[in-house]
Parts: sequence; structure tokens; C-alpha cells
Amino acid sequence: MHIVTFAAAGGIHGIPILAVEEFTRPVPVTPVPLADRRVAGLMNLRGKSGTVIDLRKCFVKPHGEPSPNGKMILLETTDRLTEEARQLSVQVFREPVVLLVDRICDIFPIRFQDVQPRPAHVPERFVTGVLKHGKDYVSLIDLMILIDDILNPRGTS
Amino acid sequence: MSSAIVPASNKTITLAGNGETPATDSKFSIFSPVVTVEHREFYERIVSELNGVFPICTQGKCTAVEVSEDATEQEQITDLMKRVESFSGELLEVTKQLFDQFYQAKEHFCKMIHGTTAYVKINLMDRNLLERTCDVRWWALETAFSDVIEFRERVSERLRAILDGPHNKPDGDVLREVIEEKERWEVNAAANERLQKSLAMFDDTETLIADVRAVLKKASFACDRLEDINSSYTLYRDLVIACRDGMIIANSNKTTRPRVLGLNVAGENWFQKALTTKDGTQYHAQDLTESSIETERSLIYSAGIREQSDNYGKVIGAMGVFFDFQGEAMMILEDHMSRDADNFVEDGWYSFITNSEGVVIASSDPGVIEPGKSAHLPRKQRTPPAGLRPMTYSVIEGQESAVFSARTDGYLDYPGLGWASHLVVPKDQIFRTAASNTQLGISIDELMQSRLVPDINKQTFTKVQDDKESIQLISLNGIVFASKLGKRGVALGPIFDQIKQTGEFTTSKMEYLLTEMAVGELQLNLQALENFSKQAIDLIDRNLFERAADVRWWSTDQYFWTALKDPTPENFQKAAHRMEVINGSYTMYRNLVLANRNGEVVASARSEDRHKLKAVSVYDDQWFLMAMRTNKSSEYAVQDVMTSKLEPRKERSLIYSGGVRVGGARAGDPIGVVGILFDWDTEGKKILATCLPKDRDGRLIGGCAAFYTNSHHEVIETTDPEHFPVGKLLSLPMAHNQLKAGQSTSGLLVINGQRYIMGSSRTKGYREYAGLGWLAHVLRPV
Repeated sequence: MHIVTFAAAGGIHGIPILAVEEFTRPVPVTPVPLADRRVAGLMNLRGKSGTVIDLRKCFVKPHGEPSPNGKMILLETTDRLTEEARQLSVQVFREPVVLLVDRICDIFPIRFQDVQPRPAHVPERFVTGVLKHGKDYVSLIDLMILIDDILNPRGTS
Repeated sequence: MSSAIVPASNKTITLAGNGETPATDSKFSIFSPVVTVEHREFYERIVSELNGVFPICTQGKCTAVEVSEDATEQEQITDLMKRVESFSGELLEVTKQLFDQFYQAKEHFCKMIHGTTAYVKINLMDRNLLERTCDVRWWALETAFSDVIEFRERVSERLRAILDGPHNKPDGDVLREVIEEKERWEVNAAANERLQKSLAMFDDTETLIADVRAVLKKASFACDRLEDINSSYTLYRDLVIACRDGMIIANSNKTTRPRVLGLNVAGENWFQKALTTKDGTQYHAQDLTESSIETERSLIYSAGIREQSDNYGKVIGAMGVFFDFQGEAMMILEDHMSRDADNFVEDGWYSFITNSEGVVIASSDPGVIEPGKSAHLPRKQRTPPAGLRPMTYSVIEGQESAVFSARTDGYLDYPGLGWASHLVVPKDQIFRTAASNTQLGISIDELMQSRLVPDINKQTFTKVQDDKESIQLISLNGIVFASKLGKRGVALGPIFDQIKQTGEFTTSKMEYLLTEMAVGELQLNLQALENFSKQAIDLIDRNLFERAADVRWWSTDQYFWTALKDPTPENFQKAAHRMEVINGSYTMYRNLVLANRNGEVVASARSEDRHKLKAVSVYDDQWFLMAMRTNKSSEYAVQDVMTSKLEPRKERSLIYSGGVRVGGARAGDPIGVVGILFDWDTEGKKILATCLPKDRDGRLIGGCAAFYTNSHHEVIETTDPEHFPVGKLLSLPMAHNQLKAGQSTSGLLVINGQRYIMGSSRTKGYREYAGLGWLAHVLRPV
């Protein structure tokens, strides 16, 4: 499976490339009143709209400063996943979601045997495993856990 | 009524963007010979990489048709390819702009640095020449000179009366012969003797004979005074006194004296002009010319000698001072030249001065740029208009060179002689790539963000990074797209990889070029600050040299030794009056004081402070003690900038002093001291203000500072009293602290939490003035 890695909150993170629809420069975001603090707002790009999640705010202790020219990752929706993605059990949200990150790093294939479980000191539940790539430690993010927690708070869904 | 329609196309596109160089003829060409081999290779690689993107995109478009039958999918791929093409096209344009900016910025900066150097050289000369005009006017009023001339005239009249009178002595003819022969009795001891003998034949000539002898004595005394002047002010080759008929009756140069005394200069311009001066404030500056006094071409300042040495008296003769122009010019020309490890001026560097006709009058290398010949420069640069600093490229000694010129704009009330200074620098040195292995002490990012890098470069930097990002995003999206096509997309993968690589390669090369630009800019800035600090220390050294000369000369003044030798209230009054006159003529002094051997102030220039100073004892003051220890009139003492009880209201005083000796003797123990209080704050500030860096439009750059520190690293004068107040102790980097006399350095440092680049220079003194170990610093915030 190929993953795309990106920098956010001072670390390098990865998600399956098949979960991604497009990378863009940041577009204007309309704040949503009373939304979760991790939600930056709603965006609209060439007719596509989506909820923007500021990934930095999803971490308990983010490091460093947010980049002044971050990037957006538009995620696929469940209905648009390719057959290959379904076979590989790539999971995405049913509605358009956008991740706000600092920088897109790389795209490369991974082997499941290289992935190690989440270390005990990482409190974020959405990090499901880590792997070493070059000199970086990449934490793999489970998008469903991440998004569900924000957009589907327990008890309302 | 019709109005002119401005064509829309008259807007020229300036690639350089600094708004002052016309874009039409300065458009960048990679084939320009100034472009270094590295850069040409660099440029070619970037262009070929970028050009390589276009076929890849075409291939991508074809592959799209191969891998998908879906029109939307095809369109998406084609769209991505088109975007890549457009960004590549933009990058090609940016690359050209980048090189254009690179070379223009370098040229501009070098123009500024070398143009300033050319100007500094002519300005140093002008400042020096201005001081000379004060000198000659002041000395011409010395009583010894009017005395000898007037006395000689009276004696001559009496001699003529004897000749013309009724006499039948056979010796009358002998007398006439002696008076009219070439060996002048006024200056020649043997001729004087003969005259005395023949006068003895006449009746009642005892007093006349004594007076004839006295003329010789007075002439010899005038010579002594001229020698005294020249041993105080060492800038002259000769000083002469001419009578109204043009006969030289005294000179300062012992070596040439036998030849010079008795010469007649009635036909020389400097002499004639001096005779027409209206009062003691007027002088004549004679541009380099032949004179019978010297074998070399001479630069002569002249002023009239007046009856009774009175400012408004009738002109009775002339004083001519022969400035050591060639020596001074050599000193100035050899300065500010790039030198190799053995301290030789580097090949291809020349510096020379031309007169108002464009003829070379002094040259750092007379073998190549020959004095006396018209300079091989375009006319407009040979005699550049005032205020302009033209630069041209020219071939000098077979080497492509840049010639920077600056014409004198005079200094203060001195208009200058229309001279121009020219600096020749090999062209390849201007566009030489900045050494990248030097320790900068600043990160590239910080440097790029700093105020040192012009906005235009920052904009390009942002643009390059932006394009890099765009290409990266496009290729990433392409890869995402291809991966979704599954097996069909495999063919597209390498294409996007290639695009990504090309994008990264070209943009990283461009970033490298931009950082090279920034580093170059930093280095040139450092060099400019170094030059400014050198200018600041040179100017103060030359100024203080004049002060050391003044005090030595004034210490021999007869009013002063008379008052100390014969301390009557009347003599003190005369001494005080004399000081007042001196102080009135020289604006750079705050006060002059005369102290007796007990350290009591017995006379001073400022009448309003006189009674207060009478109560002051200076016996423990350095300036007094050191001057009392001198034993020659050619020695002086100086007390470094510090508080003084002579000026309790001033924070700091700088006092020069000299020993007073009976009869103005050249050697012996002093009987008192003359102290002169230099107007340090004003003069120091004035000089520092001229050494602050300016931007491309000639405006002062905000936040810059210039100041002097003494040998204890204490600020002694400043342009920025808020951040670098007088009295502040500075801890400077070693490289700056350990500078030896005459050395300069530059670097980065942090003071008060602010990062600066700084240039520093240590005094090397000037001529026999050794300097006080001071440093000049010029800072610019980063």
C-alpha cells in the first residue's frame, strides 16, 4: 500500500494515498459557530465543499509553530472510494472532510510488517501505529477514529 | 482640442526592478562576458531541465489517452500537464529575471562602493586643501614677514637716495653695481658685506650700514619662522616670502635656499594674484604649474603680506606655500586599494587624479597611467560634471576594467580646483562569485528575511518557493490520480516522478542562486561598512593632525613667551588678545589657554571665562604635565577625550598642548604651556554623520549608527546617543578589538538584543601624528 506523509503539530504523519482526493494550497475557510474547536470551518474549492479539520488541534501537545503556508488534503468520501481502496480496507468519512496540515512530504509504499503498534506515550487514539521512514518516524493515522471523534460525537450518531 | 494619446506600449518592463536603471539596454543576456562560467552552466542546466518538462507533459497527455477511455479522466490528466507546462514556462522567465537581478545588484553595489571610494579620495584631497587655505592666510600675517619686507624697502629707499643724490665719489658706480647685481645683498652675506664696504666710503652712513646688515638678519629670522612653520606643518615642500618687486627674501627649505633666495617671481601667476588680494581673508590657489622655486610641478597657495601685518593693511609682498601635492596624492591614491597577501596593490587596480582639463596629475602607477597626459577615458568621465559619479567599462592595459569617477564638489567654503578622482577595478572582480565557504554567523533564512536583502530579491525568493510548491503539488496530485487508476495508472507514475524531480532540481538551484545573492549582498554590505569606518577614522586622524600642527606652531608665538617671561598684566592682556584673535579665525576650537610653569592659567581666549579660569590650577592635568616634559618645539602633547576643569559644563574635552620656550626657541625646557581645546563633540559628530550608509536612492538607512571608541572601548562620540551613548563601554568581538593600527574588519554581532553588521577600523595616524588608538565603527541593523 502507498501512503502519503505530511507534517503537522511537529510530527510526521501518514495516511493511505487512496484516501486522498487532492492536495491544495489553503483556501479560505468559513468558521462554523459552536463547532468543535478542532474544526477550522467550512471550505469550498471549485464547487467541492468540506469540513476543515485543523490537525494540529487534534494533538494533545503539538510541537513547534504552525506553518504560515500550510496545505490542505481533501479526503475521498466513502462513496467515491475505488475498488482497490475497498479491498485494502481504506476507510474514509461519508461526507467531504479536509485536513489542514503544515506540509506535504512524500509518497511511498509501506509493508504492514514494518508497522509497529502505537507507543505507550502517545495519547492520541487516532494514531494506530508507527513506522520508520528514512530518519523520520511516521505515525499512521486512522481517519475514521479521528473524524468520528470530531464530527460524530458519541451518543449523537 | 486634441490631446496626445499616450500609447499603452510605452511602459517598459524592467527586469531589474530597482527602478533606476533603464531596462532597455540593460536587459540580461546569458552571453554577456561578465557572467561567470559557473553561472552560465547553472543557467543552462536549469533551462534544459525545464525545457525537458515540455516533452514529458506531451508524453503525459498521450499516455492519458492510452490509459483511459474516460473523457473526464483524460481531461484531468491533460489539465495537470497543462498546469505543469505553464509553471515551467514561468520558472524559465523567473530564472532569467533572477540572473538579471543578480548581475545588476552586484554592479549597482560595486558602483556604490567604488564610486564612494573615488569620491572619498577627492574629498580627502579637498579637505586637505581647505586647511591649506586657512594656513596661508594666517601665516601671511606673521609680523616677522611684514617686518623684513618693510625694513628692506626703507633701506632700499635710502640706498637709492644716495645713488640718486649729488655725489661725486668714484665708488658710486661700485655701489650701483652691488645693488643691482644678481647676487642680492638682502639675502647673500658676501654681497651684503661688499655693499657695507662700499657704503663706508660715503659720509654719515654708519646707521645705514647697520641697517643693511640688519636686513640680512631679519631675512634670516623670517627663514627661521618659515622653518618653524614647516616643522609644525609637514605638508609643505617649501614656504617663501616675496617682496613687492617679486624678490624671494626668505624660504623654509634649507636645501634649496642658496638657489631660491634672491629669485624673482614677479612674472609668476601665484605672486601676481597674491598682490591683488583685497584683505587678509583672501588667498589664491594656483593649480599645478611650473614655478622657478621648484623643479617639480607645484601646487601653490598664496596670500598678500600686509603693512604692519594688519588684516586690512596695504599689500607689500606675498607669501607662497608649496604644498607637497605629489606626496599627499600618493598617500590618498594608494589607500582603499585591493591588496594581495604581500600587501602589494593587486594587478589591474589603479587610482589617479585628473585636473579640470582631464589631464592626469597624479597616479598610483605612473608607468601605466602617466601624469601629464590626457586620461584615456570618455570625455564625460575625464572631466565629470560636479555631483555625478559616472562609471564606464573600458580596457586598461589590455584588461577589461570598470572605471569609477568622482569630481570634487569642494569642501565647506573651498570650491576645489575642478579635479576628479578615478578608480580602476578589473571587471571580473566586480562580478566575482561570493566565496561561499566563509563563516557568515547568520542563517540563510535569517539573512533572506533581513533588511540587507533588497525587497526585489525577497519577492523573487518567494516566487521561486511558490512555484516550487505548485509544481510539487501538481506532481503529488498527479501521483494520487495515477494511483487511483490502479494498474492503468502505472504508466503515468514515472511521468509525475520526473516532473517532481525537475521541479525540485530547478527550484533548489534557484534557491541556491538566491542565497548566493544574499551572501554576496551581505559581503558587499560588510565591505561598505568597513570602508565607511575607515573613512571615519581617516577623517578624524587628518583633522587631529592639523590640531597637533596648530598647537606646535602657536606655542612659538612671541606674545605667549613674552607674557610668561615678563609677567606683567599688560603682557597677559596682549597674550589673551592674541588668543582671542586665533580663536576667532579657527572655528574648531572652543578655547585656548596659556598656563605658566606652576600650572596657573594666565591667559585665555574666551573673555567671558577668563576670571573663572584664573582660579584654576592645571598643574595635575595630563596635557599640562606632558607638554612641560617636551623639550623641542616640534613636539606636542594630547590629552585623550575626558572631563576637564577648564570646561566644567562640557562632558568631554580633547586638549592639545605644546611647550612655550623663550624666544620661540626650537629646543629647551618650556616656561609654560599653550593648551587648545578642540571642539570635539561638534567636529566628531560632523565627520561621523558623513560616514553613515545610504540606500540606493541616497537616503540614510534607518537604524544605522557610527561612533568612535577610545582604547578602553568606551564610546567617545556617536551618531546614536540612544543606543550607543557617549561613555558606554562596549564589548566588541575579538577581531575588532585586536585590530592593529590602520587595519579594518567587519562582521556580525548582537548588541542590546539587536543583530547588526559592523565595520571597524583602527587609527593609523596621519603623517607624524600617531593617533590615539581609537577605533571607528559603523553599524547597520540586520
